[in-house]
Amino acid sequence: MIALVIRDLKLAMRSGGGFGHALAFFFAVALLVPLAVGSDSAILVSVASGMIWVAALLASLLSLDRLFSIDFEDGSLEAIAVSPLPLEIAVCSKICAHWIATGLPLAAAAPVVGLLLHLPGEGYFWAVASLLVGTPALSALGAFGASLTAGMKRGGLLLSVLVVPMSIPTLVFGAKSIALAVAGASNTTAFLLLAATTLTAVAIAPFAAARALADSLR
Amino acid sequence: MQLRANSVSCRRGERTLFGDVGFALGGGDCLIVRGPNGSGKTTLLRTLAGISRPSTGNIFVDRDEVVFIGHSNAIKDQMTARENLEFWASVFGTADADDALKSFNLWEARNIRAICLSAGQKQRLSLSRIGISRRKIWILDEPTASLDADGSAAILSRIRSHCRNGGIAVVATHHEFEMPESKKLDLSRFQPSLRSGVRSAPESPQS
Repeated sequence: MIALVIRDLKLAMRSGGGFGHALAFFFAVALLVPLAVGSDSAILVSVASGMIWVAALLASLLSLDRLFSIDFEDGSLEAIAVSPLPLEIAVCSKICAHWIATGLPLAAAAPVVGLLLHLPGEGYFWAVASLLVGTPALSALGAFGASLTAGMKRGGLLLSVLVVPMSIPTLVFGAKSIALAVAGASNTTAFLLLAATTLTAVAIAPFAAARALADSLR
Repeated sequence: MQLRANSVSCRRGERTLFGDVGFALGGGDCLIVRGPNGSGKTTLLRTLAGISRPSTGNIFVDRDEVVFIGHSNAIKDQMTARENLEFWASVFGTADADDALKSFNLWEARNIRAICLSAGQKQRLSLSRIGISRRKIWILDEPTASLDADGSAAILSRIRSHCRNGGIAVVATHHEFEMPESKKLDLSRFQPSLRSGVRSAPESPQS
């Protein structure tokens, strides 16, 4: 399992922009929002927590398209299906690798993005924490979506259409975790619900995705 | 150890590729699968490997002993030949990537990224998975594709010695295989008759 995570990370680094892609997109949104809505601090503060999460969600969608489709096309998936590695474990590895390559850098970059969006001081900790806890759900749900479109030549659009609705709870609770903290209210409920969406997604997605992949190989 | 197919038929969409294919292989047997393009060779091999399911019939095989090398080579272009094999070695829980590189004549090319390998070298790299897997039932789809005469002879002698040591091999090929001791399966003889009773013409160009 670890071998597959390492291989995927190696490929992400070598294929150019594996790590940087999501991060660059995240920063681009953070730079564009103040230009678009104006640099009025009051307006930025009111949208900052939401924008961080919208940007993170869209950034993590970017690389999902290739999560399984490359392995599908070059025969790796077929070879894994006949190997001692169960597809469920392979999907777990893929989710891990995707999270390390996108979710983790996004969480690490959240303070910089917060700065650009005039996020008040109380929000920084929760921006990082909510992204750390919430992005595994985005990777897991994304893996499920990617498994359904693995065998398609141009599955990118369908993938987004599938994954975005599934990610809504994560987005809502993630953004609320930051917004409530910024407003000085208790965000415990929102944060726990965010953790719950992650646990649910991570528990179910590998099995659902493995089943979809096995079917697409038939 | 055995590989048994019991009146297996496979469909692709609406079309039945072949019907009522049956055979039984034991240790030491080699089965050469032939047939024109579109007769279902790849489908049969994928079905035997457990990737696809037969529409009807049964396949009896120990899945933990099967290794399948298909058309697609499962090679990552951004990694070197050695890194590619080391990955598969850890998937199969074996540690002899270097031995496999040597025995498939890839030692010189071990540190070259796969994107720079020739088609023949890639094919040998793909085939070296059979060495790494240490499994006993080899299912090979066109193993000699893009190989030169020496490469083809080498893989042929490998299959022969594998069978001599009690392994099973199923090989789909267009090329003449000098294996007098092997069993033959011509898939064109298993194509379903059309309604008029005439045998369906081989379709092309899909395999």
